[in-house]
Amino acid sequence: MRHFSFPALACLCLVGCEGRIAGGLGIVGPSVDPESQLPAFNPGELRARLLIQIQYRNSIRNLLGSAAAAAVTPPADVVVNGLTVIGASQVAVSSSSVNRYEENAFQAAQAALADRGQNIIACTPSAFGDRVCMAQVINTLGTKAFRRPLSDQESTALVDLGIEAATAYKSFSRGVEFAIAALIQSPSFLYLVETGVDDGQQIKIDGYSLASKLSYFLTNSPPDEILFKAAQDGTLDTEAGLRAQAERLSATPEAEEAAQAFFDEYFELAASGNISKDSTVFGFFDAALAADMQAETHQTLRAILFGPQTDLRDIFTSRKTFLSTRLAKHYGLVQPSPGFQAVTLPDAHPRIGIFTQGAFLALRSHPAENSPTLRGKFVREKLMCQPVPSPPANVDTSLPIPVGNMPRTLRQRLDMHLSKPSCAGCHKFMDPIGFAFENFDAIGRYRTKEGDLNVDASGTLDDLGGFVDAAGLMEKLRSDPIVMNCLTRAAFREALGRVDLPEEARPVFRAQKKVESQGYRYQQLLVEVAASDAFRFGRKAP
Amino acid sequence: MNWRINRRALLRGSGAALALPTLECMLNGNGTADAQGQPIPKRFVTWFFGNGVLRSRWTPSTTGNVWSLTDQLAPLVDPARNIDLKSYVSVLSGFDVKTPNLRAHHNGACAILSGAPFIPLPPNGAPYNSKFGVKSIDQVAADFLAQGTRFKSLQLAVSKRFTQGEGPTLAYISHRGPDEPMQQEMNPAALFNTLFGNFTPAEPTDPRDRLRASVLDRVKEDAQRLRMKLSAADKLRLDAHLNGIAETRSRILSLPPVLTSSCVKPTKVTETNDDAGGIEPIENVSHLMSDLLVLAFACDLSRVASFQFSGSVGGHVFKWLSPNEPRDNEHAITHEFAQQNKVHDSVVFTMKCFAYTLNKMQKAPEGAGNLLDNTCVLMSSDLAEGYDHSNNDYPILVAGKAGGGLRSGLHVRKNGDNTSNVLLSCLKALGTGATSVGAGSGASSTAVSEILT
Repeated sequence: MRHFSFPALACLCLVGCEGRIAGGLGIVGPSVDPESQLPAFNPGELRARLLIQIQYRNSIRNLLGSAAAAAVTPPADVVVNGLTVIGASQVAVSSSSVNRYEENAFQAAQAALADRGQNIIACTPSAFGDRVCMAQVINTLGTKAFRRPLSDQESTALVDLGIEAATAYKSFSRGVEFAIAALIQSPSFLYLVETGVDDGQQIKIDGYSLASKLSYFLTNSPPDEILFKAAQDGTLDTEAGLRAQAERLSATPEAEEAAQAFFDEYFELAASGNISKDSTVFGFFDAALAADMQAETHQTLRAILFGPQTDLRDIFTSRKTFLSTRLAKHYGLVQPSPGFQAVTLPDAHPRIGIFTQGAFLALRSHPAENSPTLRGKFVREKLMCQPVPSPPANVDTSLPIPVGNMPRTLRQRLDMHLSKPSCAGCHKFMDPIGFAFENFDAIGRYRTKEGDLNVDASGTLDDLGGFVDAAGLMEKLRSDPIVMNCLTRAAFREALGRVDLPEEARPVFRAQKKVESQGYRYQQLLVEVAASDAFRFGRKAP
Repeated sequence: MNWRINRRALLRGSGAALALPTLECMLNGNGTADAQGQPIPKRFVTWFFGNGVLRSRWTPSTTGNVWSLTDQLAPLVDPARNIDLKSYVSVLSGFDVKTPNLRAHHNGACAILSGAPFIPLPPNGAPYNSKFGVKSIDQVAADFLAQGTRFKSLQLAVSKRFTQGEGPTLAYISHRGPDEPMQQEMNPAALFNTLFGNFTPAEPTDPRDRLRASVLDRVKEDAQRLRMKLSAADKLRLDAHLNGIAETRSRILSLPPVLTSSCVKPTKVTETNDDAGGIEPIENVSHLMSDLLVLAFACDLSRVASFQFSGSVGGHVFKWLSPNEPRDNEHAITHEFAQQNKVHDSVVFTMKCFAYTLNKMQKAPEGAGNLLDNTCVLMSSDLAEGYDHSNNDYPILVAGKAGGGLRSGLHVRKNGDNTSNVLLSCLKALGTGATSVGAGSGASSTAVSEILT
């Protein structure tokens, strides 16, 4: 670990080798208060955030009902730094997206009025040009759509528009259709903009802004009535008030959905549902099997993150999984009853946690072959927050062809390739971790042999030392404070819509310590992030 | 669908002047302009594929107008498919990307599409990411060429397996600015609907489109109010949104296209670009996207397009090229010395699909010639060669005659000239009046005089 040829890797080594002291933060020294060694807190700049696809659809459902939500096809999300919420706070919408929002607005409005027009138009218009009723409809919808009360100016403009359309069509309902279309194309609906009181140093984010920020973070949905009321009456202005709402929301089914969506992105599991393999090697691997693998990991994750008294580190070491008959057969297990069933594997079983499940293993492989490099890269980047440089230009990444027809395992060929100094710099950082998964092939089947040769799944994890197989690696990752710090940072990124800053290391550290000291509950991690100063305060961007 | 044959005087409602489609019977004597003296519009396309070529099998051995098709350029002439494009394509070799190769793929993609270095996004513990430094060349061209056409530009893509984990540079080939990547349409059926599906012109008495424009006026007012509260960076993003509102508004108020021998009523497209048995329907989708692109140009719905055949570091698998043996994704095989024959097959396949796009343009009559006579197509990749990640001696084709602006059918070989010179040549051939392109070490104010008329 000390011989990297790249300066960047030398830095990583410092984090990797010495950073485990004091919660994975790179602080050395036994008697100092670790937090005091971190940079002073300074909140990040506030940016407008576009609703991502799932948030847009949930917001339409919340406002106009399921028929409207089913009628829309929002523009594709842009991923930056691995998360769509980061893309949504950095990039601008393109004109094709604006066009899509325009079409969606009318599709949603028409579907809603056809499906539940009487709920939406709660008053009885005396004529198609009834301004009082129009204002009532618009103010009710508008407050929900903008997640704050409408200003008089906004309200009047929308009522005028509604009456203009109602008059043109001699239909009150058509008037409402056009007013709804304007509401849900408005940037006040499409963007989350945080406002608050600026004391010159920092902005204390106001209740309505916090309500939306909290709600979209925890549930990918707009604030419900209870949360909206907490914004209205000032409850969210205190840390305790915000915390109470975060605790409530983090226990909802919507929070489970949102967590699954987050891990689909962060662990890139979304792609596992339609992964394909080379038909010459894995002819029987099909979309149904891939979908079962994805469902297995989804269900396992949800059971761990939201089950009673569960420890989020169980994602590394849980023996509980969910198998269909097809998937059980694929894994060489017997699962007699149809449908997905909870299964507890014996303690010595080689499958342990979500990273020895088919979805991860198949995703982090080539179409026809394993990739210890891709698997190791994932552990470094996503579980340890240590970025890996790309291969330098002008290197042949093909593995050496065995001399004299002597058979070699993939690992042996990779080891030969590690003898090249130009490759070894980075690959020593990834491959020794990735070798842990060599007992599983490119479609997630367990194996002890590769051809006629024995598989060697042993390796090392920096200064945490050696392991003999994936179970050994998982135990090390489970207890590694660097991993806990990384997962905490990932939650902050999702909440803030940007990469966490060095000046936010203190709130990150505090959240991590609190979760560590109280049983490693995932829901608590979400609450600690929401209640943190990094979440509640911001800085005005230039 | 109501396809009008008469050229209507002007648009409904008010607003900016909109480009109107040209009828051949209205052309002047020599076919370069219509009866009112309006020139036939010029069009521009960037046609992009990932992971480079094999230069030893790509570059012709002789230069000038006497050169022979190489293995990888061979699909440009195919009598069996009625394809004869050699005289319409210039090969440009010996050009180097001059921006610093800080990260392979990112650098080549950004430089060949914009002439400028990419902006690294500080990863701070997150995976490597970057974005474009300036507007991509198609958007520079669109600012000049679009002239109020219904779609200022189109972004099309074929393979869905482009890389999304490394930021906008690798995921998108069209950018209006560093924070304005233009999302691509990968679904031919959806593209059909966008271009032609909603073409139900309202009855003159129906106030619908006028009211839709009123809705957008209210939305614009909201956006302007919100804009005042935002930071400088967010103001730029909201300005992009406001531009989109203005474009959508003028689209709603514009007239449907006029039929000509090239702008014909299209058959409904139902292909959605879903995998079949884990395999992407690349050839079929590429053909359909080309068909729709040519129709959009012929009907003057748009004059500028980007065509992302496959992505930088693309994970696309051309399994049908190796039905009986294992085949890894295209990015992975470019890295392996022993797999370079497969890489070659991939380049030839890609060129076949490119030839289809060009052939479709060449077979679309327009004025006294064809659509390709009035188009400039810039074709290139994110690397010179995937195997060595090189950025020198870049593979570049410039196809079409750009309405008389381009000399085609040449092989021009240089010794390390800036690839951005080619971008500037395209802008000059299109009559944009550009005198420079790009930024930083990629900037150029020198065109490739050999291909300009």
